[in-house]
Amino acid sequence: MKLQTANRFSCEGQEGSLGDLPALFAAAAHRAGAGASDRLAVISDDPRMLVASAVGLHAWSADGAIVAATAASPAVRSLLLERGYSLLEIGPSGEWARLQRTSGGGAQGGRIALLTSGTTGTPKLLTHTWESLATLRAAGTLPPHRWLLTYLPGTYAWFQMLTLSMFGAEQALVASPHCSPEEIWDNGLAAGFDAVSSTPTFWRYLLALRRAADLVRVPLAQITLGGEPVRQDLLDRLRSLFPAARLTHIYAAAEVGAAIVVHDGREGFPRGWLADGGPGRCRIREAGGILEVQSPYAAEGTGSKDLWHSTGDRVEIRGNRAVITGRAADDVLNVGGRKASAVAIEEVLRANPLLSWCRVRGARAPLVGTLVAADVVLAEAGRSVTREEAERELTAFCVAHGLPEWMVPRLWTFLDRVPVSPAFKVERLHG
Amino acid sequence: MERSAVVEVMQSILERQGKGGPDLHDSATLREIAFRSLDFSELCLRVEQKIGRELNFDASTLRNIDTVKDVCDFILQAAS
Repeated sequence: MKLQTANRFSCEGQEGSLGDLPALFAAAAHRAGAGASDRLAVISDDPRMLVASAVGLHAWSADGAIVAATAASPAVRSLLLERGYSLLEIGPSGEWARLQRTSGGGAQGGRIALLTSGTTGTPKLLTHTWESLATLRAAGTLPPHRWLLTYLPGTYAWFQMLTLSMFGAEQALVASPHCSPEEIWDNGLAAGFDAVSSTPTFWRYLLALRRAADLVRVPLAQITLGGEPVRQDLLDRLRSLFPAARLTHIYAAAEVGAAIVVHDGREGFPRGWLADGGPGRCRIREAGGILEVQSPYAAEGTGSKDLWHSTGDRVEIRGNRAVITGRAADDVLNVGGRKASAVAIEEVLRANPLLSWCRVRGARAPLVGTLVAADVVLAEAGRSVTREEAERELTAFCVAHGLPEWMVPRLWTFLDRVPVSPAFKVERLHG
Repeated sequence: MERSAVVEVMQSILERQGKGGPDLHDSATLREIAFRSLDFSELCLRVEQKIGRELNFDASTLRNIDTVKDVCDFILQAAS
């Protein structure tokens, strides 16, 4: 695949073209004694060096991985070394670089390893080729954009944006150190951007902390959401704030690629896609309430391209739409032997005007094993009531909306802001 | 933990569930005040959060709990 060398890349006040970046990476790698025949896991907290390293690995046709320094835990480092990746740590602007070599792991060339935490939280590696990573090519020809890069470097979503810029015409990237959503937004303002791809949580966080009047000063032409279930309330809010933007939400997974792409601003996707496989190159279907995908972009070692992959994500039919509601394994709470759906409870709570955000989880409790607990962030309307009043009103709201007694949250935690993981996703908690 | 604090938590649980009424008195039965197993579990959890440790109790003693007084005795014993 041919690098779009003229595409622009901006980071912390420096702007250049993608074609400049391989040399930056090569200089740092050579300084540490690494070369194109090594399998390198590049670790850095410099976003420019991480992008340069990915582009450089492509230029070398080398095997490698990109790891943000914040994600390079001892467990991750051990896993990479075990799998035959030498660790190349690169300092800011490539000022220093050091190499921890390992043996084994024959290079295949042009393979990129992605770290995922899977459903268990234990890190694992998935291997892709550049062809299987670059799934957004199939989304059609995009108009020129400057994309705000919001994803954690080295993740599947980050590579989606990177490969869009590497191989798509006139797709620029605006990166910044991976910090909070509002800092990423503010850093991007100086460079200028007209497109944002992020998790829904990124926007919920931003909308809670920034005045809408300030956000809409950015003339967004494209908003893409992915990485988490996308709800109608957020789509409606973004549509009202950015009426000129194309609103896209994507279902993607590191194992199978971007399988579902929707542009109509409505939650979910047409249910008919489950019957006819959908319009994309990936085929989709539902089995036992779980989404399955047949994908030409599947990671290596996950079976043939004809295999149907069970995503573990629950899909529900609502009228003429099919809606992905989240991981099935995260959804069911056992309250004294009765099942409670965290997703169903969240659906009810989300309709309450007191709240701007909620997450339902199980809390370990005597006698019944688990009680339903809710972490919530109050909306403007909820800030004028006491917490005791809010708890009473929210409880009554759940009862009035038909939740059975065991599904009504018993414990309420009021948070000042939406809690986010480094990947800007809401983390499921298990009590 | 004081007996009055246990009653106060019971009262607040009932009010939140829309089952609040006059002040609880010791002889009121759990059936009369509609204090169910989920309410009892919530009470235990809230007490555990207040005292910062798990309650220590024998599940078999639960069978003999019938009134507000029984609940208070049980909680105070388990929290001691």
